[in-house]
Parts: sequence; structure tokens; C-alpha cells
Amino acid sequence: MRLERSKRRNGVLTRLIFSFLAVLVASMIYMLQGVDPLDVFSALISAFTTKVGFSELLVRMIPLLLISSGLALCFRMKFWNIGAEGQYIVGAMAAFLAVESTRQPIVALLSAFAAGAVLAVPPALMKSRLGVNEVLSTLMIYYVVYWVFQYLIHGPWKAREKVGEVSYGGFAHTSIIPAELGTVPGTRISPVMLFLALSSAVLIYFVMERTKLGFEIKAFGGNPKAAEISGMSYFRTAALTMMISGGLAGLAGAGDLLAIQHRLIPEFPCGYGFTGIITAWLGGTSPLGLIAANMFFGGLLVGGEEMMIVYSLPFGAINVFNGLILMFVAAGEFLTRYRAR
Amino acid sequence: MELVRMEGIVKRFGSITADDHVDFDLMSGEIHALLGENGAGKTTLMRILAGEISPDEGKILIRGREVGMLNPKKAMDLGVGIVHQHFMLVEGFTVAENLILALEESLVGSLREVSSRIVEVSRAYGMNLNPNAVVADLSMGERQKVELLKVLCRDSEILILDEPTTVLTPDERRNLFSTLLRMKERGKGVVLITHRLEEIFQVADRVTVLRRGRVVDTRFVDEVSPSELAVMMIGRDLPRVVRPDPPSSNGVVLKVENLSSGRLRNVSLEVRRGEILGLAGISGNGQKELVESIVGLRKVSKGKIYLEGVDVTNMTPRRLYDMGVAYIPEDRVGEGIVPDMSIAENLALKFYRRMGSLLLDRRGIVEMASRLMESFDIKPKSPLLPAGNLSGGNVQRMVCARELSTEPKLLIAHNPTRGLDIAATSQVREMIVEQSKKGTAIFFVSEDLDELMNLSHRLAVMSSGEIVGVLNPREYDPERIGKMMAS
Ligand SMILES: Nc1ncnc2c1ncn2[C@@H]1O[C@H](COP(=O)(O)OP(=O)(O)OP(=O)(O)O)[C@@H](O)[C@H]1O
Ligand SMILES: [Mg+2]
Repeated sequence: MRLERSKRRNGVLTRLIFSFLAVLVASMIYMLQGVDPLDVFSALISAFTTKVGFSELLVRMIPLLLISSGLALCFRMKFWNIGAEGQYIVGAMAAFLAVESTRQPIVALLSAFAAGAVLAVPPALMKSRLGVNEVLSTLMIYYVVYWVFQYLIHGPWKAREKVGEVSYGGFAHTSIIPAELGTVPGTRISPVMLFLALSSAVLIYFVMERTKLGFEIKAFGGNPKAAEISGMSYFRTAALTMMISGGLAGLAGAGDLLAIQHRLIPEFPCGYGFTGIITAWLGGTSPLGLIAANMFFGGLLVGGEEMMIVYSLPFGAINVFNGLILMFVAAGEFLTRYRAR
Repeated sequence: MELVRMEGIVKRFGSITADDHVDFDLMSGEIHALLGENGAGKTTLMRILAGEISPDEGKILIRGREVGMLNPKKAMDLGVGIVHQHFMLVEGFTVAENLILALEESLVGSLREVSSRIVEVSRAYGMNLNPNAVVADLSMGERQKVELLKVLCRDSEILILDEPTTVLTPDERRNLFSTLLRMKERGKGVVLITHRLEEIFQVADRVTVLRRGRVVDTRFVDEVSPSELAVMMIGRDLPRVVRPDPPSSNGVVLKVENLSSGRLRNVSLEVRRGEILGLAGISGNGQKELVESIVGLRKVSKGKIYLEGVDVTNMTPRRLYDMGVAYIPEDRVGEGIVPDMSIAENLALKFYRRMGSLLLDRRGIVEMASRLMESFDIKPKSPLLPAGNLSGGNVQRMVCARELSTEPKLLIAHNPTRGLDIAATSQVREMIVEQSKKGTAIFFVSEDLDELMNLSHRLAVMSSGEIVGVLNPREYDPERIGKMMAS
């Protein structure tokens, strides 16, 4: 048997169909837990139809969109950055330090971008110089960052002060930051972050279509050997791509700290960096595709959380969705792209 | 007996009609050559027969029976085996593993059987192949053998060979031809696509000439002459390209000194301004390593490389390009182009850097590309078409256009005319000769000895990673060079 790439590419439609199939299978799994599948759907749909649901959907879409825009760029180059979660955390940490010392949200955002960008470079270096697989290096850096983060908030950064009558001494988290990004009244949406997120989707489209960097990304993604022979530098292209990707993920971390959480807690890294892999893949480098995919997943997250609370499902239940969708879309992609002969 | 009959086959790709009401037939016990310019529709016609492409019109009969819609599996079951022009091998796999993929053997337990089958078949057909060799390490000639084995092991009755000889050495070619003659005696039918007229006269019984998707004529080989065929193919006969007068100034452009690494042993050579230095040798004797070391794709452990006196050993391809090195790689589809990018983008792979600032000058690229497509005669003239859709000859013209448009000081060309039709071949040779007249030093690596003797000012011969001699035109003698190559 041989597999051959077929030319057909009706991506968006098949992806939608397979996502829907995944939702069906997921609801069957929830059914085993004693949940009525119809309730699953109404919970999901409420994320899109109710005001509260939709605003929470946007709250989650913002970091997802920032992260997945960057990842989409990496994936066009076939550079498999799966460490966005680490870049997100490091962005939040940098923002925390910056806002503590300067009280300027702008400075915090800039430092977050820089920190995420810097953290993303070593995998590019290791791959181009030593041939280290980027999947391993990005994932390993994520683990290191994750545990450093946990150490800091359980140790040096742990809040000591009292706020009114409540002492923070018992729980592990940092003190509340001294400045924040404004939100739309009655919601947790930060207009600044929403704007940045939407721009990031447009930005990467622009990078791909209009810049030399995008041209190089395309060439390396299409035939690395030909790109190299033409004098393009793998390290330079991969490093720049990763800096954009890491920077955007860092920005997402800063946004969540400055506009939503206001302090760092152990659960701050909640998996956007991994969900973003799926949405980047679904959306590709098309702005509309990215926005649609991330709204869909934002909705899934909101609906899933609601179900978890109403039916007291285990914490991991929502990940069933993510996993299934990834699996189904990957299978769908494979089935439509390749024909067996 | 009539094995195959194709009637009124039409295939269109968008606005291009690749095959236009083509009739073709193949008898058992015959070798039927298919001849035509690059892009004439030969490959397309045969891929239709192999079920890989479905025709827009026309019908196909195999052994007298109409077959309806074909797919690759069905065609294979009907005994059609095709060896592709561009290799379809998994590079990380061994020869035996690639065979298993092709033969659909179950993986478990069959590796040994397949290995012994490989040894047996490759010996029967005079091809020496180690089943455990990893394909990535094989030369182009050896890879072609693996492709041949895939079909030979399957015992196909209808054998399609799409330019099988382009990568073979003269010896290997003779062996292949005796294999083909043996198959013919056993009643099989062979379709042989080739651009080399002499091969047609050596082995084929009949020849069909295609021109722009239409059949010009089908003739018995005994009843036509080579120049008649050339006229049928392109409408005129072709002049022979020969080397220009030796250059007068003699500044050394490329100097390789005592290079040793991998297969290479103590290689030294010099190419001067305006000189064409040929490198002859049987494929897999270190030519690829040498070329890749010079263009910066392979690390050199011992020895030095100088460009106009500057030490460029182990420089990146980019720096070398900036210093005026151009490179036409051997595997033009695997290394020369990005198939998913457009023709314009592929042409721009190098010069895009010099245009505009951070932004890509898209209009400039398309304009420049259109100019290059015009002057290098790349067809079809649609700069936005993905380069992967071009025919072999046009891919090569595109690579040449890209490399020569940069006014290089040094051009390294590795098998640049392989697989090109006679018109394109003479065009590419012409381009190279013109370039040398402009003062570019040319390092010309080829497996075609006639071509080398016609074009080179001096000819180096390589064997087992060593330069075993450098000859002047007075000393060119195929017999002698052949012996040196095999030493
Ligand atoms: N998949 C495709 N999509 C679009 N055009 C194609 C495709 N395949 C082939 N063509 C076009 O069809 C024409 C015939 O191509 P084909 O590959 O059959 O030529 P050929 O005779 O085999 O040439 P060569 O000697 O260069 O191999 C060419 O103009 C080519 O660009
Ligand atoms: Mg062809």
C-alpha cells in the first residue's frame, strides 16, 4: 500500500464536520457519566447565545487567539513548537515583575513579549546547530518553566501581607498586582487584549503573505533543502518565527494576569498553550479561520466548565473534548489528504 | 497480441491540454518508445495508463478488454507497472523496506524473503544492490535501480519506464537494455520514455512521437532516421553545442586543495575564469560529496576550498551565494524547487533578498519572474502556477534561470541536462557555454561522457573519491576515460 498526497483541499468543511463528530462522541462519553447529551449541547450553545456565556467565551478566546496565531506561523514552517504554555507562563511572570516595579501595564506587556520571545529561541538554535528535535526541546523547556513558576509562587513570591482581615499566608499565591488593564464594565474582557488578539491573527497573515520572513517560512515548510541551497538561514528563520510565536504567547500570559487574575496562582497555567496547538492547526494562517477556531474552542471551554460545575464532572472531563477533536480532525485530515493505493 | 490500446485520450489541466486525442497501442513482445519535447504529455499519458490520473475523454483496452475507470490498484492488478521519472522512495528506509512498501508484503517475517528476492532479481537483471542499504545514502543511479526493482519484483506484464536511463552509467544502461530485451522475449510489453535518440535505435521496435499533446506519428524504428525524429519532435534539426575557445585570462576562481571527508580522498582541482572543467565518473564515486562540500552543504574535515583566493571552507550556502556561487543541484525536484510555491516564488528564492526591505516585493518578483520565464522559455507562461506542476524540462529551465540570473563567478552544475529533451538539452548547454564566455568559471559534473568531452576545456576523472587524472581535449578518448573511471 502506498500513500499519496491528493491535491484536494477542502479543509474548512471537513474540519468542521469532523469537529462535530468529535462533539457527538464526547457527548456519548459524558452519557456514560450520567449526563444527558442534550444538556451537553445546550450548555455548549449557551456559551454562544447568552450574554454572560459569550463574554466568557471571548475572555478565553483572547489568549487562545494570541497563542495560536504564533503557533500557526511555526506550523507553516513545520517547526513544531509545543511549548507555548511555557512561553505563556514566562510572559505572566515577566509581567508580574514589571508591574510590581514600574506599575505600568504597558511596560508589563512589553516585557512579557520579550520574555516569551527569548524563551522561544533556544529550541531554534538547538535544532539548527545540534539537530535536536524541537518537539522535545520546547516541551522540556515548558516543564522547567512550569516548575520554576510553582517554586516561585510557593516560595519567594508568596504573598505575606494581610488584606483587611484575611491573611494570605496559608495559600500559595502572589500578592495582588498594583496596576491592571481595564475591562469592559460587567465583563472580564479587556478591550486592549481583545484588540491585540485580533491584530495578531491579522499580523501573521501579513507576515506570511507580505514579508520576506513569510517567504522564507513558506520555503522551509515546503522544501527545507531547496531553501537552504538558496541561501536562506534555517536558524534565522526559525528563531524569528519562534520569537513571534513565543512573544505572542507571553503577551497572552500578561493579559490574563493584568486583566483577569491580578495575581499569580498555582492554577494560572490552565492549558491554553496546548489548546492553542489544536486551534492553530484548525485555523491555519488565515485570520478568519483562526478567529473561528478559537471562538469555537473558547465556547467549548466555557460550556465544559459549566457542565463540570452543574454535573460535578471530574476536572479532566473537559479535556476529553480537546483530545477527541484533535484526534478526529487529524484523522479527517489524513483521510482527505492522502489516498491509499 | 495487443496488450494495450488507448483511444482518443484527452487530459486537460486547467487551460493546458496535456494530451489531445492521443491514440497509443502496445503489443506483447515489443518495446515501444515514446518521444517528445518536455511537456509534450508523455508522462501524463502513461500515468493515465497506470491509473494515477483519470482522463477527461477516451478509452483504454487492456488485452482487448475495455477497462473503464482505472485506479492505481486496479491497473497494477491488470499487470501495469510504472517506474516514475522522479523517485518515489522513502529516504529513511532501506532498499528492502521500500520494496515491502511497494509490494504490500506484511511487515512481519517477510524482510528476509524480500531481501533474498532483491538479491535474486537484481542479480538476474545485472544490478548490484544491497537490500540493507538506506536509500538516503544511495546515489541517484542506485535509487533508480530500486525503483526498477519495485516493478520487476511484481512481475508486471506491461512495463512503463519513464526516462529510466537518465541516471544510469553506460554500463548500467547496457545491462538495463539486455534486461528489457529479455523481458520482450518473454512476451512482455515495454513502454520506454526517453530523450536519447540513440537508445531508441538500440532497443525499441516502434516509436511514437508526441508534440504538444498530439501524436505526430507512430513508426517502425527500422524505417526512420534520427534527424527525421528530431524534425518530427520539434519541427527542425538541432545544431550541436560545443565548447567555446579556451579562455585567455587565467585567474583561478575555484581552488580545492587536498580535500578529504567522507568518501573523498585528497581531492585537489582548479577552475579558471571562463573555463569549463568537466568531472567524469560513475555515479556514487564521490561527486555528490565534492559538489556539496564546495557549495557549503557538507562540512569538510580536512582540506581547503578557495574562491578567488579567499578561504571559503565550510562557509554557509548563503555567504557563498553572496560571493557569487551558483548551483544547479542534481536532484532538481528534491533540492532545487519548492513544489508548493509558485513558479515566480521559486524563481525568486535567491533574488527576493535583494529587492525591497523587510517586505516582500511581490509585484517586483512577478515582473522579474515573467522576464526570466520569457528569456529562458519556461512553459507554461503562468508565473503563479505551482512549480510542482511543471514538466521535467521546464523545472530544469527554471532552476537554470534562477541560478544564472545572478551573474555568478562560479557555476556548479551537477547533471544539468539529465532528463531534458533534445531541444532543452541543447538550450541548457548553450546557456552554460554562454555563461562561460561571460567569464564565469564552470564546474560541470555529469555522467554523460559525450557531453563532457564536447563541452569541457579540461576533464577531471573521479573514481572511488579520488581524482585519478585531468585530461586535455587532445587526450579525450572514451575508452581510456572509461578505464580510468573504473580503476
Ligand atoms: N498535475 C498537473 N497540473 C497541472 N499541469 C500539469 C500537471 N501535470 C502535468 N501538467 C502539464 O501538462 C503538460 C504535460 O506534462 P508531462 O509531465 O506529461 O510532460 P512530459 O512529456 O512527460 O515532459 P518531460 O519530458 O519534461 O517529463 C505540461 O505542460 C505540464 O506542465
Ligand atoms: Mg515526463
